[in-house]
Amino acid sequence: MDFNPYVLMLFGNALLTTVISSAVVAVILLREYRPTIRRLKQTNTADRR
Amino acid sequence: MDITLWIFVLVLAAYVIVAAGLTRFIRNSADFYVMGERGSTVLITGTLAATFLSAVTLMGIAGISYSEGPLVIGALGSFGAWLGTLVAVVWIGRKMKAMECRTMMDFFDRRFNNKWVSVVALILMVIGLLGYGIIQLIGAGLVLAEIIDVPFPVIIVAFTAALMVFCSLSGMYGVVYTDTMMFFTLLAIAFVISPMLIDQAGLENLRGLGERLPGYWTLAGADDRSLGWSISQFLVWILFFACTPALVSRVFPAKNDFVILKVAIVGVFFAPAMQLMVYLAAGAMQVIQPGIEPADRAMIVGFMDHTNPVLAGVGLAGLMASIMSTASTLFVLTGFALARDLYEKLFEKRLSEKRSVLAGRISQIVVSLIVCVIAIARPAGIYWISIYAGSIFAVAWLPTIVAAMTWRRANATAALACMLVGSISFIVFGELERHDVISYPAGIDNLMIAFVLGTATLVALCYACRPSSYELARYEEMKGQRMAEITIGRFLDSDASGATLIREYRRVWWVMAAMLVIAFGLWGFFFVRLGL
Repeated sequence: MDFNPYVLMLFGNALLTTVISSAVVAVILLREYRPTIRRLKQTNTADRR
Repeated sequence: MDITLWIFVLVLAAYVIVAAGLTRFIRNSADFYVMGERGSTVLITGTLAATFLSAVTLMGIAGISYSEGPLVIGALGSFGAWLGTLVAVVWIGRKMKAMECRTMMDFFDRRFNNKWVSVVALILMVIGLLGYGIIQLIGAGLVLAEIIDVPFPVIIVAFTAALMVFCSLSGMYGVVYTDTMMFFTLLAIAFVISPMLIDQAGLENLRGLGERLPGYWTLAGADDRSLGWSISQFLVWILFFACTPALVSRVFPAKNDFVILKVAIVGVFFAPAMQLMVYLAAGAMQVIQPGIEPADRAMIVGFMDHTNPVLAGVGLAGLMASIMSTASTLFVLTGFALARDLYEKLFEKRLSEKRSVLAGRISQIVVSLIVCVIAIARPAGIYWISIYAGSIFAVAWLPTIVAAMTWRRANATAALACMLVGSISFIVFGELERHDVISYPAGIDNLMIAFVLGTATLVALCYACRPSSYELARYEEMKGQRMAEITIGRFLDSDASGATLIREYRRVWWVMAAMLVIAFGLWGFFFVRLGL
């Protein structure tokens, strides 16, 4: 095995870009949408009962 | 007629026909400027990715990857561009869309309501967009003219005529749809032609380039560039891409916040995916055919001489797409700036919807004619402007926009001073270095100095001057304008049960999971094959 840290940096940064964008979107979804989604789900469940 | 000329004509005709067909959707100014905010995930991803991937990637940076190694720009400079794109979409673009901006100039107008701020921002935008766009059109047009053996002025007239048709007839509709068509051509380059070239070269041989060209698989590259240079590239690209109107404005036509969030994942994934595949293919060309001169023709030689005629045609269409997708966005925004921001707002013309669209169309024709004349004449001044054009948004706009969005004390005086100090010092320090009057330590350049000076001026004047009551009121109002709340409200208005909202919310999570799996698979594969 001939580990090249620079190559890891190249593809690691490409992967990191998707990881960061996913993390940012996840935070937005959890902070800005989840409370409403939970409320809607609870209301829907109560309506069904 | 030569096959390459056929492809050139057919590709241009296809874009023009599609754009002409879209004219029927233009019923008011919202349709013309932001395609009635009906942009789906595919369309917004397409226009973002196609605008992102310009001829600079396919020629300039591919050339550096070919001669010095894929890591020289790819590892840090391009990483800055990818992160900058994310900032442009998910923060600046999303916030401006929440403020109901149709152009980036709307933001300056609404936040400060100051004519001087608007005039300076407008001048910087027109110079930045045109300077960057025209020089790309000239550079790639010269290469294309050589490939298809058609005089350069004919290429430029054909390009600008096509741009005129789809920008003036169908405005943002035409740009977004044709960009998406171009995106699929660019995908073919990244995921069909590039893998073929890499396969022809063989991953082992590609990896072995480090033995023939020492440093080829390092950050410094075969030319042994300094670490400071790589860091400087990272900063230049992240600052430039974070606030360039070409990328930020891609968000404005989005249908809702879920589209923006999906684009932030998918569109931003395609930035490295398309670029790195091209860089690796350029490296593969070093194995297949060393000694290509000039190096920025490496990918074109790859398309034309090392694939079959069909793929060579796709490659040529992709090269045209890389030029036109970026140029169409830059020029449509310049036209919008002239019609909407200069004529309608600064000159305070109250136009009906019909006349507003007409003004937009006329300005697109004017921009196309100006671009055509400048590109054919190629005056020395345009090369000078191009040195500074692209990066001017980084030094003049970015600190102003960030402060205006996040700082209560931001005011028109500070914004104006920041834009002037940033842009003027950028040019002055650049010229002093260009004429060998001063030199900077390794890793420091005029962009960094101008950015620091502009930001320092902004901060000092934010503390020295008090914001007006209008600015304070707008800041508070802006803080309350959130894309999530707008989207939730609209979804619940159309479906009170919230089922559609919940479905869209879940879809974003699924898209995120899928893209993470794809990214791990793709980049993991290349790392194992080339880095272990």
